[in-house]
Amino acid sequence: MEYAVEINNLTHYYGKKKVYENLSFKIPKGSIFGLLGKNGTGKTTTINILNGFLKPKAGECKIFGEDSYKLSPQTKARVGFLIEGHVQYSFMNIKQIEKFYSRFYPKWKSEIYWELMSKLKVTEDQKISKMSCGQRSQVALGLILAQDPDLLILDDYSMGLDAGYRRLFLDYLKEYAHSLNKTIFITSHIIQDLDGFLQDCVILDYSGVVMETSIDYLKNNFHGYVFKTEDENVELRKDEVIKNYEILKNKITVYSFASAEEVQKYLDEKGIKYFDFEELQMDLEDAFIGLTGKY
Amino acid sequence: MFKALAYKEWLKVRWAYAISFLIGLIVLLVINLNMRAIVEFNNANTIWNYIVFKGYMFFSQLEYIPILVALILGFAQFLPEVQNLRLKLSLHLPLKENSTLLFMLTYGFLLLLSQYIVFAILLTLISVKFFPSEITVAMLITVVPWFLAGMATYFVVSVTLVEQLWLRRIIIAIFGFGFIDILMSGDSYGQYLYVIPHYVIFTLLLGYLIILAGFRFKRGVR
Repeated sequence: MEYAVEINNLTHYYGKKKVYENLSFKIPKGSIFGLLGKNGTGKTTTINILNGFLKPKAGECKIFGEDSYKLSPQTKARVGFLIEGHVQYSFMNIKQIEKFYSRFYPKWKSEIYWELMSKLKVTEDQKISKMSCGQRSQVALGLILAQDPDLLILDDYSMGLDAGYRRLFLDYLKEYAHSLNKTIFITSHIIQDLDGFLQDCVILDYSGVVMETSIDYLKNNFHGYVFKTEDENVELRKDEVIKNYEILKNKITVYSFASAEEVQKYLDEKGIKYFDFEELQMDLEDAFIGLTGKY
Repeated sequence: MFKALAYKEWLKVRWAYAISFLIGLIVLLVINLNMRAIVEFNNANTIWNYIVFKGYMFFSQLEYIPILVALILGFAQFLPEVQNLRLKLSLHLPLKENSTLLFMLTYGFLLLLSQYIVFAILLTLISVKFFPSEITVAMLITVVPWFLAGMATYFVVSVTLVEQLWLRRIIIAIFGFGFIDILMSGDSYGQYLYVIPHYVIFTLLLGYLIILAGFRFKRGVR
């Protein structure tokens, strides 16, 4: 299998504060891959390393087989990069910025950009700095799509966007990725939007990688169960069966890859008296919270 | 591609370029009017005495203009790049990072130089209108360090902005200020005649610091 991104044993610290150790994952060409994690778990750090704007303490990170810190101009032309907050050259207007970027990319597709711009209620000479956050996001998206990159790296595309713009952003990305077999690597703190969009993901928490999985596997095999107990001193531990749990008075929620029967058997073996046992309906966000916890 | 990069730089600095150019022209106009008034109200002996024996610099209003122009251009060009770490966009362009940075710096430097050349020509025209060539040559030698101080200011502003660590920014700014202060310390005609080549080399070397600052930016030093 060919990979657009290969991250091997990546380790990074800010001073003495560990971000993560030995982070490893690969993104196959043509896949839509998410890096999911709470704030401060290292998502933007990973994006910065991927784009060559941060030298990791150890490990390697490759884009299309090249060290991401020393990307050649040819490989950089194959990577579309959305900076957190949809940062662009705000002193330009939409016409100037299109003129500027189009000179750098041989496969530039003006029509994609102008199609997106036509949906914005802006004039050609309106500076980007005078636009709303949602409008700026469409300009940034239009520019990276017009670049026709093989790999899109999107750092928290949802930052500052309302639901409509978030949906519009993902609809365009989805259409683009599926029709042209492009690779997308995306981070976001709004997990629910990515449900139905992502194919695979890596989930990070403060201790490193929680898991690398396909979204389908996660949604089909990761379960949440809720039950009640009269025992006020119930003690649970994270182990092979229980991946996470919450105890709220006499109501207990456990998260597991095991089936309902297996979890019930597990509770019986631990001597936990329970009643009103039922399985929760979970979407991607519930699964994410189940894996990483609410705090 | 570099043509497009030049286009971006021009969009950033065009107003700053026009404003700073206008400031320089106004100051030169003031110098010209002053000289006309001095010639009108004083005889040749008095003027000669003031210039040759008392070292009166009829062009002294120009002294800090190159620095002011450099500050305006330097900030206009590099502040938008470092706000929101926008420099990442420039460094992600399909060019070698050092080439991008050096091009941006060279472009700004050439714009600055273009203004300095115009200022120097206009100053020369004013001078030859009133004085013999010896005084004009001495005047030009005297203003060279001022223009060098302007160039050094442009480089120091650029490097200080691209650098992301405040401690290093302060060190670069202090170091740069010290050098600029040396260049601006002359108080008589042609004082720096024999050291100008050294100062030219040193000033140009200051520009190279942007490569180091860019390297540190890319390493993620914040």
